[in-house]
Amino acid sequence: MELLVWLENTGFGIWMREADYLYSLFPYTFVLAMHTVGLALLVGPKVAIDLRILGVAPSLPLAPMEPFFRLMWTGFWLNAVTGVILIPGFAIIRLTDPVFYIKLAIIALAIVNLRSTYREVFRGGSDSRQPSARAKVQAVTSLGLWTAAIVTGRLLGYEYSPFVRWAALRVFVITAIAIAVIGAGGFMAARSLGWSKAVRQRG
Amino acid sequence: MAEVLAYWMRWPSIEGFFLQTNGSWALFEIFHFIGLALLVGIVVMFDLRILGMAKRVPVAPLAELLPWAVLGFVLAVVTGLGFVLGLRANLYHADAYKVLMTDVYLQLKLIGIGLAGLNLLFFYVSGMQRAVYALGPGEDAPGLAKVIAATSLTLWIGVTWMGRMVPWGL
Repeated sequence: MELLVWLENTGFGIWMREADYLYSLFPYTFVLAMHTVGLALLVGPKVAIDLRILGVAPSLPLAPMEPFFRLMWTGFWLNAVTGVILIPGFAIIRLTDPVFYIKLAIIALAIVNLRSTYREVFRGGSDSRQPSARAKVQAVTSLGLWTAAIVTGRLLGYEYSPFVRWAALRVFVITAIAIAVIGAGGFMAARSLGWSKAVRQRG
Repeated sequence: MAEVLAYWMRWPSIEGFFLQTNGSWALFEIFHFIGLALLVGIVVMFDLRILGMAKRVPVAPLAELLPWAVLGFVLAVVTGLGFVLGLRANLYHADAYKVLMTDVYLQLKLIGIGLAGLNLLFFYVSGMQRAVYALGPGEDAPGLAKVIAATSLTLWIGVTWMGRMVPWGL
């Protein structure tokens, strides 16, 4: 705890916390905004590749998508760096917040998952238009983990109201399950009725 | 005029929803961020392919992912309208009219989205959309298409940046 108090009261911590009230573009809001840009660069392309693995855009070959992993790693490192910079200004509230550690754990798992997807689908350079069942399981896991990362990240902003956090989480889980069930049902219905492109292309 | 606009832009039903549903503001934020990740992430992939990254990807099949970016856009617009029209539920002294008139980051963000829309329109009108969709593996995009892609990339990253600043412009 003394360490956290010290961290908040270092020159850097004070500057990060208070410079915004001096109507400056820097630094807290700027770093926070870059953290959001990094999120988009990492999560967007990963979700796109997961969706492709799960059967969206079947005519899109997976192997040439490999360079987009560089984009994801750029997003990841941007967020690792901005994330560390964001801590000192609010060290006490963040580093004593269980949600913060849950978020870090989720991201660690998501990165392990990203690396195993890379090994499973992209290593070897074969044009694997039909991803393995294992790759599909990894893709579903990835979608769940990145969603959870965004949810916990956003809930970090409600550090003083656990009640709001639980309420938001509860409604989100119900909504997410509803969307998943309706989405999967719709997909299967479309497939059995022959509406989807995938079915038409396979003849 | 200002009073009429201010009155018209206050939506008590949305304010009421936020006030009466615990966690709904946070829930909207979550969906706003999911939407932005889908939209910006997928658009950036598409722009980078036109600019020459991952050139072995054929463009027309890559474009089949764009409906998911549109889904992200819809999610972000719906939740974003919720924030603006129901703002009084979160900040008693603010409302839609006031925030649109005074928040420079929101104004810049909306201008950025408008410009991105015009850029997209130009992508179609200039014939670059057809030229780009015809690109197979390894083929390079025309110069004008690259300019459009670079503009799109800059605008969407700018919109994300300004969007995150909106709370500090209130």
